[in-house]
Amino acid sequence: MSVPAGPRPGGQAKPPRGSTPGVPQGGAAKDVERAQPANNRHPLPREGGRGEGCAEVIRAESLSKAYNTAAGPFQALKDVNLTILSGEFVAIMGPSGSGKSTFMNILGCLDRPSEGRYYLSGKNVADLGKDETAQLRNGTIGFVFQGFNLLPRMSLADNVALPLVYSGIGHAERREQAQAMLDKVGLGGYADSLPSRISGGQQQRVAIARALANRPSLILADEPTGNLDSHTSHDIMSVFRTLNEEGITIVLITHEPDIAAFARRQVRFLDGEIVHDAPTGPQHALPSEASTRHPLPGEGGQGDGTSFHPLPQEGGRGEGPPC
Amino acid sequence: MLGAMLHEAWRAMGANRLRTLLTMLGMVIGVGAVVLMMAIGQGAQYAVAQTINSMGSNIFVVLSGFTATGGVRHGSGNAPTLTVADANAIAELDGVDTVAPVHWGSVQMVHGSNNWNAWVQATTPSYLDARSWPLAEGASFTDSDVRAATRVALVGRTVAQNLFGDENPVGKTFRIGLAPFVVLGVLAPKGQNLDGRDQDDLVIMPITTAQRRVFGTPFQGSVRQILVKAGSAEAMPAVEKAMEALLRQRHRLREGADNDFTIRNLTAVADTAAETTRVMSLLLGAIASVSLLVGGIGIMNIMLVSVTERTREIGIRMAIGARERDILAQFLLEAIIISVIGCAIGLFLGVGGALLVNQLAKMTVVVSGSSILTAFGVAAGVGIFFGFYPAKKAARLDPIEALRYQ
Repeated sequence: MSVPAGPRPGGQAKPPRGSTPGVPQGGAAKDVERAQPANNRHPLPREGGRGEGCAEVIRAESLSKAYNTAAGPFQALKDVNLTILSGEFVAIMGPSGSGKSTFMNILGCLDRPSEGRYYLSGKNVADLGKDETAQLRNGTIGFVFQGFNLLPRMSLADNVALPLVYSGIGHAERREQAQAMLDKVGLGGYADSLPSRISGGQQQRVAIARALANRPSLILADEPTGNLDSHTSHDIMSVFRTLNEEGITIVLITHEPDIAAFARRQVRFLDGEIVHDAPTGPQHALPSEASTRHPLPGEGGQGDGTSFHPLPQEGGRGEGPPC
Repeated sequence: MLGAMLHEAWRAMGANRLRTLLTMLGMVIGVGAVVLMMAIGQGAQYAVAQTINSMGSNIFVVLSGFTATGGVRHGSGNAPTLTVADANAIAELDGVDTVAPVHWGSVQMVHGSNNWNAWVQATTPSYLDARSWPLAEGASFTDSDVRAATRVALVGRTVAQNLFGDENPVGKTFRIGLAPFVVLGVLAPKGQNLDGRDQDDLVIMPITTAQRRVFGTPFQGSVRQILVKAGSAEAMPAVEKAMEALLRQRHRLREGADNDFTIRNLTAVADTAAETTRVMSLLLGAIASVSLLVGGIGIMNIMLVSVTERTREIGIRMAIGARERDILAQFLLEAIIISVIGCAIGLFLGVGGALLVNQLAKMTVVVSGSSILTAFGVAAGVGIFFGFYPAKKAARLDPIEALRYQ
């Protein structure tokens, strides 16, 4: 099996530090694509893998999404540009109706933009057919939902193994992989339990294990702590933090500033536009404050669609993203 | 992949056992009804085919005219209008294979302490040829027996059993009135004819013997009917016409006068009977198919409910990488499993029912391999046909909408 993979450590030319790897000049996108190792059946990258192979995982170029509602057309996204590099941990924030879920659905290849281009691991998703986007969701992306979304009649191991079924992996290997992932989230002893027998926090851990089953390079989490109490929420967030330290790119939606503080970069949506995009720092902990203090650079000022590409080094926090 | 999908289909079916069983029941009844009705229909066709074979093929029966007594007409075969000479003349016609003049009557016969009333067919040896009627034992009488009017006879199985019991009748003697008759042979059993009469309850003897010793006909040489076998099915219309012309001429009937005889084409009668049973079995099959159709609609109904109930599950599966065809296959497989298992149970019950009908109603039933295969094919087809729309509906769901579904 070969699934389009995220960057993996080793063997690839490292872009020079300080360069902006995602700037689409000439064949840059192709270079990025070439930089992706095809095989992601290796174990998760260890620590220390960070800082290598910093390629774009997500590049959104002037994404717009319009819906036709009963009250007329509704513009959910307006010309959104965003680039996320491999190994980043991004929190997307914003009030209800600000377009963050729409954006997330597009990132997850569940929805398509009305206008603009979205590159996932260097591939223009608009060029892919339904089956190919399904394969991306299966192999490249791991989803974590607010409502956990485990299938109630399946054992935890079967739930975790479900993505592997759709990538055509045999029964024995599925079982083994599911067990490994459950072990990883600390629920190895519950492989044969049903989801109803464990707590919400544990269910979310299982959902994370399921998202990890196919060793994706990107995890998209839509309010993963929305149904959990604060203690369990922090617990889940530290799981995400660990995964990120292992090199997995994580994008999560949240309402809560304390959850967003786990991320290394915070992006704030308002009325379909990005109004704030900066690394997490003490001064950025309060999003409302941040949004006033960091006005957007002028749209299209650079005309290359990468105007919102914060370089992590600017964050001023010791543990910046890998590049 | 298929193993995992079968496992999932099984789990989904097990999640709502009663519903699955009730859905299956529609298929069970449908397939059971089709199998049972086909068995009965094919049994009837088989029985008719057997009877037709027993009549012999390409046969005409020429019946003599009727008599009337003061306005009361006595029916065909009662007027002495046909003669052995007519029969001999017909034998000379082109396309005629065999001709046998037949006279008959019901006669009481005695052997030892047994007596029995049976039908006597007085005819010539060619009668057995015309009806393709072999002997089970012994030998037939010959043309010289006919010329000499010897007192010999062939007996049907029913007569043999009633007069002679377990003894072998060949060479034994029975009496009609005071005249003794020697049994030369026993006819092979033929069973019932199209009217349901036992064709084995008869005695065949030379026509001359019967007329002189048994019936005492006042018109020597007259017969009640002439059995004519045409050489081929194609020759039958021409033979019929020639026979009619010949007999009208021999009987000196004027232009416009009614025939004093009747020609019946037995093959046409048989064809009608076969056609009737064929239509009957088609009708039975059609009625049974309606229940199969209803069973199929039941499957579709339940699958649609199931798709709606599992909308969220479908959304989750799509989000983690199920392609449209994976979802389609999952639901289609479930429908096919329900219909195939239902079909297997229905087949079992249908065959059991057919055997029961055979035992209780003494009806011929035929359960053929082809009808079983047809039932299985139809059931799988019903599963695919009625499962496809719900499965397609599931596969076409928008993952975002499906994930939002509560």
